[in-house]
Amino acid sequence: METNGMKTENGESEEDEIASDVEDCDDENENSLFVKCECLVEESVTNNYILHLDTTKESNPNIVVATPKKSVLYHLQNSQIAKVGECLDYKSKLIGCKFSNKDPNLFYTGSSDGCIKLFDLRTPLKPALDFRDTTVEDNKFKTFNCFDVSSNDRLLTAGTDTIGGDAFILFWDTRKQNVLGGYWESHTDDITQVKFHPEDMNKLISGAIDGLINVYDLTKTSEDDALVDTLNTESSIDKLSCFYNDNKCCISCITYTSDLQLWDLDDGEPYRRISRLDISDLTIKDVNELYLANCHQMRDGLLILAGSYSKKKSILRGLKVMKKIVVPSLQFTPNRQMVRDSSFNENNNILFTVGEKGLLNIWKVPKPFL
Amino acid sequence: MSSKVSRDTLYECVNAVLDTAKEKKRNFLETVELQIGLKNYDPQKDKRFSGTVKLKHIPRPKMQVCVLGDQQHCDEANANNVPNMDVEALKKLNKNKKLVKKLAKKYDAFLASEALIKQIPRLLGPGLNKAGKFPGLLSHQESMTQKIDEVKATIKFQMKKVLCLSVAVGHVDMNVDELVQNVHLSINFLVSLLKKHWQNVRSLHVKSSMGPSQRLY
Repeated sequence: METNGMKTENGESEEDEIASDVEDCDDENENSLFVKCECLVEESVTNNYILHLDTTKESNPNIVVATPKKSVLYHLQNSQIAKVGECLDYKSKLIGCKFSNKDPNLFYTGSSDGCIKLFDLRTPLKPALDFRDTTVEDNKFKTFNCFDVSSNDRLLTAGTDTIGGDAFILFWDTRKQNVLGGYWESHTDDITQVKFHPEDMNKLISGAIDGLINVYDLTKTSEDDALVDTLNTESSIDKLSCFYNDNKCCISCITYTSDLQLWDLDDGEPYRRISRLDISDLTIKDVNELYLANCHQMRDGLLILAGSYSKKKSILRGLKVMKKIVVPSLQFTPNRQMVRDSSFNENNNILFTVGEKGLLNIWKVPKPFL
Repeated sequence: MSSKVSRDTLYECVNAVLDTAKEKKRNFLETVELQIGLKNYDPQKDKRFSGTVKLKHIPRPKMQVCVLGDQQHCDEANANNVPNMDVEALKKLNKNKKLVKKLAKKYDAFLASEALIKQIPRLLGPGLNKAGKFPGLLSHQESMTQKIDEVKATIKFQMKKVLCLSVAVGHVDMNVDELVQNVHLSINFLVSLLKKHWQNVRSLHVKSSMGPSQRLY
């Protein structure tokens, strides 16, 4: 493992700034366990938080980031980014942004006032289509929290906050603007995540504050039959994603208490629980300062992104989940913000991060450490 | 991260809560709540503040937990006087919404054996999900009574759109030490989850259901 580069690169001045409560985590021994990733780009997008990010899969990807009030578009080429445009046409908080899986020029943004808009990158000022809850009665507008588009771009879904005791999952056929239907029996609290299966448009998972991950088979006609599986995390769900473990589709779940659970669909409990304490032991030592940023599928396993709240130094590190153990893997310096969303491009081994200082960072991940 | 609430203040406030409760007995068991006011926190932008915390002493002793068990767990439940149902009993509900709702209402929480938990959506539909009572897993490696106590000791916390939240940390029949430990554990855990820790805390109070609130911080 290379250590030379890191000692010098890390810079003494930054080391000095580390708050006393995390001082013991950055000594040389500890540092040498993490391989440094080069920051290719740091772009200051806004003074506000950036809460969401998505990128296309090509080696010269398009990038969309969402602040609470606007979405901004970039294109990456030869390690440089160019701003393509921005959309300001939002009346309420943005809840997410996502590229079409079929056409890298199309992207969706959702806002909490209950509207998902489809834009063309080449004409970002005006949405091509918008999808709203067309079933609203008596002005009972549902607050949207999250949305997703199926792998073949046919179905669109959104998860809502509770209204009158019900939390809704709504569906649209992307060719029509009317709501196709919805579920409201399977969660008891605000729905924070809806995710389509990476390949199968008829499989959906949802996660909520009530701690349940629900798995649905959308070919069934009623919600009673569509609900095929419920996984009880006994916490509150922040982020869900699908990944493959030995060719089996599994679910990673980050909770609001910064714990990670890995589920396959065969068992009634996670096959791995990686607690906030476990992660802090390997990354930033003081568990009170630790947050979990995200989880990404790499070629030979999962990468956990964990960071420190510490004002003096916003450490960001990556851990790799191996068969039996979790090992230190990557270090992202200098990271200057609390990371709120990230995206990994497998074609050129690039990690994108956005966060609370309004920065977009693009990191090169060295090959042997994927 | 050091605590901003001294041991003395904790004891003083908890004692005051218990004293008022003793002076005026109510005809129900008063709950003791910890109320947290937050600041420098934007619910529109900051991460949600929500989850569960396991306390040392059971705050809700009267909670009724029902075991949805395989044969072995049902036998064990019967031996320990724990309400239980087996797969046949669940099949009889026949996904009937009213019956599932009735079952959900009857108990405060459920635990299910490995063999059953995966069948619950198919046997009962989303009824238990909707009631917020989808079972936790009861494995054969752990003791049933211990697991039930764990369920009873685990509390949920959640901040909605207003910057305050309240968590039930105990009841007025607990002794001072037990209550202090629960309050202390809750404060430390919750503050550790806040991005700016104590700088996010505007106020902390303890109070019983009917009594006045005592300021901790």
